[in-house]
Amino acid sequence: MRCLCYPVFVLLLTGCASYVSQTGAFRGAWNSGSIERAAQLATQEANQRSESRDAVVWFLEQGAALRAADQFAASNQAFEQAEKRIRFYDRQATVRLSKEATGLLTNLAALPYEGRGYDRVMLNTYQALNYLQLGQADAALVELRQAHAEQDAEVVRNARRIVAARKSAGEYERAIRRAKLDELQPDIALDYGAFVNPFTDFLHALCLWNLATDDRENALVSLRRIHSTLGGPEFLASEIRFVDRILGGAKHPDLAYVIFETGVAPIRREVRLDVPLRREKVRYVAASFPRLERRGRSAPAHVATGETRYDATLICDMDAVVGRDFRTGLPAVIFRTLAASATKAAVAKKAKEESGDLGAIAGFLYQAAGAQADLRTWTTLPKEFRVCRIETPGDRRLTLLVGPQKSEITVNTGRVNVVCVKSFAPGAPLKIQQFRLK
Amino acid sequence: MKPLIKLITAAALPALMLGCATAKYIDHDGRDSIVNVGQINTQDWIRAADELTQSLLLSGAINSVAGKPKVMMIGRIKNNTNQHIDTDSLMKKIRVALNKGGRALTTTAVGLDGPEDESSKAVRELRADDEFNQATIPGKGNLISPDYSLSGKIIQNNARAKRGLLPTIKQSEFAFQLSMTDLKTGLAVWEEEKLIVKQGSRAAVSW
Repeated sequence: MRCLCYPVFVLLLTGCASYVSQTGAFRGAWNSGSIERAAQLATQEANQRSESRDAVVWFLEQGAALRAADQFAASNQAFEQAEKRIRFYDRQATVRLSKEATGLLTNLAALPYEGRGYDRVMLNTYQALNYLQLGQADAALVELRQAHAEQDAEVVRNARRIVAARKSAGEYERAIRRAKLDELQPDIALDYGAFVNPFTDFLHALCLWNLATDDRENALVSLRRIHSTLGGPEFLASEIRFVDRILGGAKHPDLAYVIFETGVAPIRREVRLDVPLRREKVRYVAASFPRLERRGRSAPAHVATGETRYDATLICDMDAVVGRDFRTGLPAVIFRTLAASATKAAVAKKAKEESGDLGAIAGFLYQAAGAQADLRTWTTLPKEFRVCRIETPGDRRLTLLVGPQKSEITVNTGRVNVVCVKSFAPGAPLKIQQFRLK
Repeated sequence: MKPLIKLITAAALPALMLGCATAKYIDHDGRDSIVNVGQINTQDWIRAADELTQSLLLSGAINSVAGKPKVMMIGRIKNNTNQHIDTDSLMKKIRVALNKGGRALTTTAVGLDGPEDESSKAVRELRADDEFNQATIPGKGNLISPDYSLSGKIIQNNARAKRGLLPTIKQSEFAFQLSMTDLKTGLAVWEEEKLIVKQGSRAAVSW
């Protein structure tokens, strides 16, 4: 009886739909450009799950959807909720032995979603964009400084995760080390280095030289860093020369920076693998792992004024940012998943030995219920950020082109304006927002 | 006996808990301060500012005439390091030292990117406002143009070396370069460079 009770309890603990199926309707609305519907669905889910282990990821989805729906204050509220929870988990980080135990007895999806490294950086970046849209420059600079600090802090957090994963592996550590799971490695075309998000750096640089009073020189530090990270594109070389002249006191014409957010970031799919451990207690385990899956293709973006057409430069490939984060966290995921599977297999074996067929059924149920990979990921992030700087034409009219999609806009008055263009699936209308920087 | 044990426990427990607190005050330029190889720490700003100020004062470049301090503006301080820094951490300390010594005052009404403090300009915009007593508003020709400008650059150079089985040694060199320009002649009347070099190693967590 005892061996039946435990699997039932575990089933209750783990028997939830995966994040991919949870977000199906929401992603459908988002990808087709039905922003209002997506915002409504995300708000509904975030409210329902505000106290659950998925609260952070749903607040992030809600924040992004509300931002796209022009509800900037509400979007920041959602991001603040996510931030508050993330800080809560960070404060608990050193005293959560129960978390590792839960992970071993169930699966990683049963643990709270604490926000990945790039989530934290993008959360601050979107908050900054929202504040800029609301005309609160100082608040935007605070968010960008936080994003900058998050990039450094993630390196330390990852080291902690590795140590925790090793501890959780316990007696299986050596066996797990030998397991070759190369097929889980994401294919990364670009590598920006540890947790660097070049778009956040670019936005920070733009805000520093336009809005900051006493640390404008730091704009050049950020621009030089992105320039070297991206392999020295001409757009950034020209931007460095341009900003250097302005910081030296030169005047500049009216400018428009057009930021293109195109496509959708990768999601996680589940892959089940048999991994030999060759241990006396457990010969091999069948475990579920997450694997990154890219969505859609890169879309070129341009700005046209009259007959002249300007290409937008790729500043950040989010597939690469997410892929790098995934790859860095993968050893810890493998360790914890295999350790959990081995623990469950050992429990199931013991149940069979002690209770015969009934124990075997209970053990099977227990293992099946626990074999679920953590597929949670912020799905509303874009695939790419592209940027274009142009001198605002006399009539202030710009034509914006993303792949086959086209839209026109009249830029607001001001010396430096930012136009944000968001594209969804091909055929869905472009979403355009703009704010005055200076 | 039991009440006595309870009493001792009650008294000792808070003391033990207080003993666990890790926050404390330290001398900002003392040996207890944290030193990071790749960063400019508080004590580095203090050392650089002190030595640059001493050099400036000893050079005699800004001798006040008849006890009247000279007026200085802050020019561009370029950040050629690979980290975001607030150059005010350096400049403010130098300004404070010069101000206290009565050798120079800094104008906040003139700057390369506009005034550091917009108030001087804002108060003059009240000239057309009848709500203000016009006699209390500064008249024309009161703002003082600077005699000197202070500009400079902070440079970072990194190096690393592996010595046998020892962890990799990292070295960061920060150069604080300052120039003072006589705005009448355009000549640099004082220039100085202060170097701060730091070395250290850190073991990385890996698989």
